[in-house]
Amino acid sequence: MITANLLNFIGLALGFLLTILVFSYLLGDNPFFRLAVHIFIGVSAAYVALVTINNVLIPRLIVPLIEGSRGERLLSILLFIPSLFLFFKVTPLRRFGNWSVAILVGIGAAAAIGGAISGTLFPQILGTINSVDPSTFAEYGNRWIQILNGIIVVLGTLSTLIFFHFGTQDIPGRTDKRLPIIENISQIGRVFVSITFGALYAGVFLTALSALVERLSFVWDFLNSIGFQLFGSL
Amino acid sequence: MAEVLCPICGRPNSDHREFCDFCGNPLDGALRVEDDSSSLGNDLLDDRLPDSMDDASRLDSLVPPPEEEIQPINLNDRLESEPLNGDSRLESLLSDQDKSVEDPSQIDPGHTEPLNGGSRLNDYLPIEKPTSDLDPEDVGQDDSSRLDEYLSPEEPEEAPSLDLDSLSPDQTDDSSRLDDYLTPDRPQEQDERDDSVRLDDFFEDDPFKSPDPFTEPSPSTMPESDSSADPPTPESGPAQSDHEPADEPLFSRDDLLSDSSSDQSPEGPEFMEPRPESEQPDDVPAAESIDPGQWDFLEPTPAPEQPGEEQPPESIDPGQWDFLEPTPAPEQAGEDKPPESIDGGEWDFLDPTSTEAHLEDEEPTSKSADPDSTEDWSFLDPGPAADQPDEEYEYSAEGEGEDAGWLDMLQDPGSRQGPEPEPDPTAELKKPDTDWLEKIRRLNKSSDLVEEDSSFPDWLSVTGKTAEFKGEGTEGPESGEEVPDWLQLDDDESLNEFLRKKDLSNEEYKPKITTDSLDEADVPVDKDAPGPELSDSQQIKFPSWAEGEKRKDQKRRDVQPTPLADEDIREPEEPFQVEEEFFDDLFSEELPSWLTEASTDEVKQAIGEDLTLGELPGWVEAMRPVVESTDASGLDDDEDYIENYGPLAGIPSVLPAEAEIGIDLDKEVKKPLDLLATKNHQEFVDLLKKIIGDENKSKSIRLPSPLQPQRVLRWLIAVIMLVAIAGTLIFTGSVELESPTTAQVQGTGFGVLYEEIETLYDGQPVLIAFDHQPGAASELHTAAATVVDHLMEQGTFLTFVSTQPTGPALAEHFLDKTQSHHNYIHTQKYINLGYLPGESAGLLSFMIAPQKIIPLAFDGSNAWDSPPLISIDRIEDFKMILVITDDPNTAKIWIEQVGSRLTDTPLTMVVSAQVEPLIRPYFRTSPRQVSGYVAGIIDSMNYEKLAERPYLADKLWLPFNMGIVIGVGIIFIGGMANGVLSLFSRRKDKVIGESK
Repeated sequence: MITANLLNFIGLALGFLLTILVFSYLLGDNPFFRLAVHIFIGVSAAYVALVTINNVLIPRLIVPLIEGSRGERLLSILLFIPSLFLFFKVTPLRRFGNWSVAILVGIGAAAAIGGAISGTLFPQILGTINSVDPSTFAEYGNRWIQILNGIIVVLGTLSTLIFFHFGTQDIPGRTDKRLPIIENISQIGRVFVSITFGALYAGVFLTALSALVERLSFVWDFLNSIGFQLFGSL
Repeated sequence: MAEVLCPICGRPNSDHREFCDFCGNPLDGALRVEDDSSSLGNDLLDDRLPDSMDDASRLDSLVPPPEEEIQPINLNDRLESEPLNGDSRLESLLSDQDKSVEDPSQIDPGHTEPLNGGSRLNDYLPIEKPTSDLDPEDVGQDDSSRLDEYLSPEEPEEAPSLDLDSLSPDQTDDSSRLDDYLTPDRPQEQDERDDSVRLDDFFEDDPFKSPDPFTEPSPSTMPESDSSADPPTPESGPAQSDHEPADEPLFSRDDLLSDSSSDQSPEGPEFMEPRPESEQPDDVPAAESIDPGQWDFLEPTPAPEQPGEEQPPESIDPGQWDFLEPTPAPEQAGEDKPPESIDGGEWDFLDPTSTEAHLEDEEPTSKSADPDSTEDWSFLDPGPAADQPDEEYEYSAEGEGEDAGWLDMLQDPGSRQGPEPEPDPTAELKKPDTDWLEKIRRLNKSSDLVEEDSSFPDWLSVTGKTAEFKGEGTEGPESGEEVPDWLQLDDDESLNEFLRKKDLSNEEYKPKITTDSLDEADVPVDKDAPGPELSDSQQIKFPSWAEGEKRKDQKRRDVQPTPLADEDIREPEEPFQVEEEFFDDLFSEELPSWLTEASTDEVKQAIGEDLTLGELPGWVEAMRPVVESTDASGLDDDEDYIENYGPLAGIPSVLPAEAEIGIDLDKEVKKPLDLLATKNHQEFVDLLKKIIGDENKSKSIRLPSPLQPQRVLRWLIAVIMLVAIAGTLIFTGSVELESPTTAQVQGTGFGVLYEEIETLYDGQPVLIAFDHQPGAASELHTAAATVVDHLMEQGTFLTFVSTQPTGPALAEHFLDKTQSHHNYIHTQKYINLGYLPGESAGLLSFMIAPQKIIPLAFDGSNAWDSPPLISIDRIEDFKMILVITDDPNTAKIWIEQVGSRLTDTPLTMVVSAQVEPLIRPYFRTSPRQVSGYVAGIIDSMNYEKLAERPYLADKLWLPFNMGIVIGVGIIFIGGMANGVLSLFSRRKDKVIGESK
């Protein structure tokens, strides 16, 4: 009989093995690394499929059709029709599923655009403006620093936007170049973009480093649990 | 062979012609000359021939010189001083009087400078053949030589085959008679025959016999020796000819043909002497302006029969045929001719001044000639060949080479053969005769005196008699039977039309032919072989169907190079006029004669009677490689196009016409290429050239080292990182946490989040979204563990949801691994709603109606009836929303779709360190879109310090910081190393550049 400790040990052993297989990439691309990747992709895909079926289709489509009220059935039927047409996308009659995809894409795009405008664009514009508004300054901290911070935010925002402005004036016989003022400001924006990319890279590095430390900690814990405890006991 | 001189154009025609070959006028009543082909040919080959190639000779034959009777003494004087042959005689008539060479030895054989009319004719024949000493009897060759222009190459063949017995002397030597006739100042032996009398008889019916005030020598213009006939005007010609005395028409013709410039020759023959300019009528045009068309007044002139003068049979000796040999006349070739010779057209040869010079120059030669040797027929004997020693005979070869090409074409091919020392007189007995000759004979009532003109090929023969003759006398392949029927010209009108066009075109190509014939100078000629030796131009001019026969003939001659006169003479000749016709067609803008003939209505009608339109003859149909086409498209199985329609029907591989039709010529017109290349363009071009040039250059590629440095470096970095972190994990424990100061917490994300959680109390619902991938679980679980632990410490009800499929499992795993000590039970204190599909739309819909979007929990239980969700109708009912994500887009979706619609519910986040730069603006804005957040292990560690509950972050803090230090150190060292290496590489390149 398989006990919970055995399953836990098997789980930890598989985790340790897969971790070692992934680490084998240090030696280059090798079958062990690819085996670990394939296992990961397969398990993830299978898990996603199961989750989708068990957590989406059955409770939200099948159950209402079978056990739901008339309204729920009718609604489920209405939702089921475009879902069936989506299956045409994997058949030669894939064009019959276009309208279903169009609905999905249209709704998703509309929601994304609306959310971007209302959730990012306007708030960020407003936040940039308020960054230099003393009335919005926090009560704590140095106001001058907040003013300086606000100025930096405004300058960074404007210079970064100008940096991505590539419009030029078409003058015959001259090489297309941006206006000097735009060019100078864009250089400032380049600094801010560089800092941003540096911060992103640092965040990626920290994320990776966190994963490495956590995996090494896991490996140490696994080894400590199965064998190195002997050294500890010794 | 007998010839009929056209009364209009004066050119010789075959006696069987009813119409002139050159002008197309009827030859009825025209002068019929018993032409001895050999003599004619001799004149052609005579070196003096180019000088004497003037149509005036022919006209002389038609127009008897009036001086002959009026000034007999002068004529006799002239005869005494006349050169050997008729050619020179005519030249003496046409030469400048001032130019005379007394001694033939003084004549420069190489002198070719044109001086007189003949020299002007030499414009067509730039290389003048040296003339040999000629007998006085050869005077008669003058006219005949000029007639030889139009002799066919068959004549040397035909001439030897003539039956002398069957021919009258007139037939055998008509040229001599012509010379006698045309030459008023003939030698005595020629005067005995009195050709002029015969010609007068001939011109009995000729309108020239009528008194012509122009042709009749006026008393004022007829001095003893320098009297010249009035140059007639073409306009007044016919009227004048009507009044021409019967015995003076020839003079009138010569006067008509004489050039106005001939006035410079006072010593010319009286009948040729031009009238002094003061005496010339004003309306007399210059000789150059006289064109053949102006001689239409002669058109009604009937050609009287040639008087059948008895000729001694012995006059037809083999030497007669030596005229075919281009016998040079060195003394004439070397004549000093005045450079101020009159520039004239083709009629300038009529200039008596030039001819007189010839006459005077040749006078010694003529005196030295033996008049008794051949009598009238002696002129037929090529002077240098028959009478001159071998060295003169050599001149003939040279002269042959210098003979004009067009003359070669016109003259008898046999004439270019070397003079035969002993020609077979019996060859002339086989001279052919044709039916059309019979026609002319019948018409002219002198058929017995007229021989067929061989100037035309057999296929042009009307009756095919020539073919019969050839069949009898020769074994050559040329026969009338072999000539296609369509080439047989029975229609006199068509023949005349053809001849008229030929005559017109002759004037155009003569100079070119002469130039071409110069190349023949180097061509060796078998002097002994009497067979025809055609010049290159002639050979080229042979039509394809005649080329084969010509090759056979040439091969036959090569095989039998011995000068067998009989056999060679009997050799069939090529249809010489055919090549002339062909050559005429080449240089004429008109349609070929056969096309012209074919375009006539008669021919069309004849064709229409025999053949229907679109119908091929049977033999052509049988020869066609017909292939059956499988379909109407013209494509068979092999996809070769087969024509289905038209004359090419059934023939495969025919280019379809559609290909050409499909071409739109309007669109194919190329527009002019306007390129305005500026300096910048040129720079770009240079740059492009440089780039292309660099691409073509071979670059040396360094072989990779067995052990790549990058891999070693990677291993090195990995080992360092692993050793450092593992060592830190193994040999170091947790660190002691110090609570951060207030200043360190204020304004931070973890600080605000901590305060937000601190405001929650037991039983308040909190929505936690697990929207991260499993790969980020280690970081996020470490960062979120202390936050979730803080929530559980606060006693809140937790609801887990995820927009990622893996989120629900991760949530369960997180709770199981990190929060198991809180004893949170599902559906009791927390609920896992599971996966929320649809991303933005799903999240938005969940924002609007969470119960309808996720009615059941992840395990299928009724989630909304559970304690965590029992008080939740909408999303704002949650007291706090915590999003755990490693994806900035997911974070933005939550902020945009949910956070912007939240009023009192704080939106907080636990994000990965890589997402913090993108989340921070939402936190730093005012008002805050993200109330608080914890990013990575660092904020998690700070949160733990703030909460004073050491947890996972504390455990990983030292290895994590060790990794950061090692990472930064490696980046710094790597950057420094890269900078140093770059600096060294630049210095190295700089040193190399300076050394270069």
